[in-house]
Amino acid sequence: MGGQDNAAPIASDTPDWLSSSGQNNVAPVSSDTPDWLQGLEAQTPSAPAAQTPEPQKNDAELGDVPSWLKAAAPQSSIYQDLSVAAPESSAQPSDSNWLSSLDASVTAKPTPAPLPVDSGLGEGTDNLFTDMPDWLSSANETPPIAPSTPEEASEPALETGQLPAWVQAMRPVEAVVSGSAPTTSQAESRGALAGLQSVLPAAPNYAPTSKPKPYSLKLQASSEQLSQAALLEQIIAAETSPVSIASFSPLGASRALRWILASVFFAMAFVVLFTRTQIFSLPVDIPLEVGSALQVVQSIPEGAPVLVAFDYDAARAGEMEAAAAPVFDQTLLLRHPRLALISTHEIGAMLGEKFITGQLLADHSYQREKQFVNLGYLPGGQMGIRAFAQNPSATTPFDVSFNKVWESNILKGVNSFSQFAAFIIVTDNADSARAWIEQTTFARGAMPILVISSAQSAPMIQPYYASQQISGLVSGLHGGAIFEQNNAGRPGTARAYWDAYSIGMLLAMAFMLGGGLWSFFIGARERAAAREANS
Amino acid sequence: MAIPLDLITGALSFLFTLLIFSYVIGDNPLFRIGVYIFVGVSAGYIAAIAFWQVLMPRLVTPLMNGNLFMVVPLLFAVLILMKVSPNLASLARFAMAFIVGVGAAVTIAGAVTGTLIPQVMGTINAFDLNLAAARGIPVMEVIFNGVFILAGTIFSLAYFHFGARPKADGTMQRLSLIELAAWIGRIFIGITLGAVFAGVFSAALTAFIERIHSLIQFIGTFM
Repeated sequence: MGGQDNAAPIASDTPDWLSSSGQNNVAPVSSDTPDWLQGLEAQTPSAPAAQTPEPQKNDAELGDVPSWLKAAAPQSSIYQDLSVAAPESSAQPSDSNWLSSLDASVTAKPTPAPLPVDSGLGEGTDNLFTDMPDWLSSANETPPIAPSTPEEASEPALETGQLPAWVQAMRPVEAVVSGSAPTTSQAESRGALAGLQSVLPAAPNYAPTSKPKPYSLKLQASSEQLSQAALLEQIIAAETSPVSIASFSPLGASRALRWILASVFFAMAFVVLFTRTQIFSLPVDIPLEVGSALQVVQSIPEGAPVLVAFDYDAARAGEMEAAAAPVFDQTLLLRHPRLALISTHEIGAMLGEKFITGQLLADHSYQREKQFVNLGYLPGGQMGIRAFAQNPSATTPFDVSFNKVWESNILKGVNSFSQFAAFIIVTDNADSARAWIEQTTFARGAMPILVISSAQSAPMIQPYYASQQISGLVSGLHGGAIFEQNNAGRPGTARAYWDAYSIGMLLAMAFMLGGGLWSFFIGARERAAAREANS
Repeated sequence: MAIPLDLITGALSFLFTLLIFSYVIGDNPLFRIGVYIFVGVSAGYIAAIAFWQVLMPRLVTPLMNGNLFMVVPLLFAVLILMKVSPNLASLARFAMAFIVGVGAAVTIAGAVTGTLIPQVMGTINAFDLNLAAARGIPVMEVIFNGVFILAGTIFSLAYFHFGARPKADGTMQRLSLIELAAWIGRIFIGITLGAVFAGVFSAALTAFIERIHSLIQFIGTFM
């Protein structure tokens, strides 16, 4: 069994270039092996001579193994393996294929050869592989019994858990774990590998230097923060929880009640106005604000320019005209002022002109461009008012007919806002009155301001009279009636409306009082019934 | 035979008054016709006013007369008109910022100098006996009115003071003094709102009576 024996079949099956190299079994191994591999082989701790065959001899036996596999496999393993299988290999000289010979060696040797015990550097490495799991170590403990009969040899040579020698040879070389592999065979006590022994560490020379720092899972928060968080949770819970909508039972008789109320008011107004009754007397007492308004009217110089702002909607024209008619009637009758109409409402100037030239003041025969001018709509809201107060002629150079009114006889001598003899605001909106009062404060000087307002806005305008920012206030039909009393009963509008107004107010009070009492008794009865039901 | 203009206007007024009064029986086509006509006529009239009383005298005529300063409001108007297009709406920001800024400044300045300070001074001067004498008001009435106005003002303001402190059980509560003042202030506010409601009803009733009176007068022209 020398190299010559194994070399012959190789030469027969291999091509010429390979057979030529195979004729010299000893020399080609060393000649085919590169220098770096030779150096590595020299450094690799080879098996002692007593346990491993001579290298040349094994090289000859491994003539079927390609040189790259020889280089990849540790020599000790391969040589060890092949040394055991050498008799079998010699029994099958015709198997020229290197893999066939390898398979044959495996099948012929069902139990792996005992691992060589190396000294020195390879000791730790071998210990690493000898400390195998139980299933593997048990396999190692099986006594290697060589098959004595061909039947035994034909049995499956590789049992479960047994590693063939060449697989063991593929294990990490000693150089990788040289000297660093742990020699302990203690079983892993934690982790996914718990219970296994000789498990490779995660990294060489790795060992936890300290116990991991424990971190508390409890939220670090103060009691105030916790209370605020609880409050936030309550708010969120309140937002997400459905809230039952309070349902109000509709008035069962609302439609009938509306018909009844409307019928009563219609009947009352028709009867009273058609019969022209005068049951109720006009108010006699003169409030301070109306008395001051009377003084303002009487203090206007004869033929003086007066600025009038008509800031009300057409829907309030009936009330506003009833309140303003006595004031203007007395003013026009006594002082014959030159009027300049203006409005911050789009239709205010038209309503103002209708009022001045209308039926209520028809006796005075005021005509546009003769006794009054209509400056029209003043745009811009409060900005427009302020601009007009600063420079009236530049803000509204034309009237509604494109005439340059500031050069006319009506506004002759008026170059600034304060040169008007008086300023009368006719409005149904407290905001409109407030805007005129606020934005003309700096420009009006001692010019008196008289406000004729709707009854609904009078409570909000009243403080401006208390602070003396306005000189007089006439509000609603009540104010107009008082003024009419002091105007010799002219023009009589308030008188015509007064009875219907008084009866209507009484009816409203009666309905509200009766409805309130009815609701109170109904509620008391329901509560009493509920108490009885509960008891 | 010429129809008098007053008769036409009176007939229209009579007709539309009845259309609006038909709402008493509920929402119906007659009421809707009246409302739609009022809205349409108002919109058309306001558009005409905007053109003839704003654009023409304040923009077009000065521009035609060579006032180049009017180019600025014209440019602003064009920029604001860009808001009709979502892609060009951002061009209106400068003009809108100018309008909002100037408007806010004018409003705030007017409110401070025209309402806030004068109303505070008016509340203080409610006890001015000389001023009351000049108005011919008796001294006792001046004192009573002054105390009443001052109390109403303070208590009403206290009602709108919502500062509170937490109690031991976590609930929030105002100071006892503020709570008492707020309770009194609520009475004053209730009286004020009642007066406002009475004014609203009075104004509506007057308008209603005026309309009924106009109907009777229109009918009376044929009798």
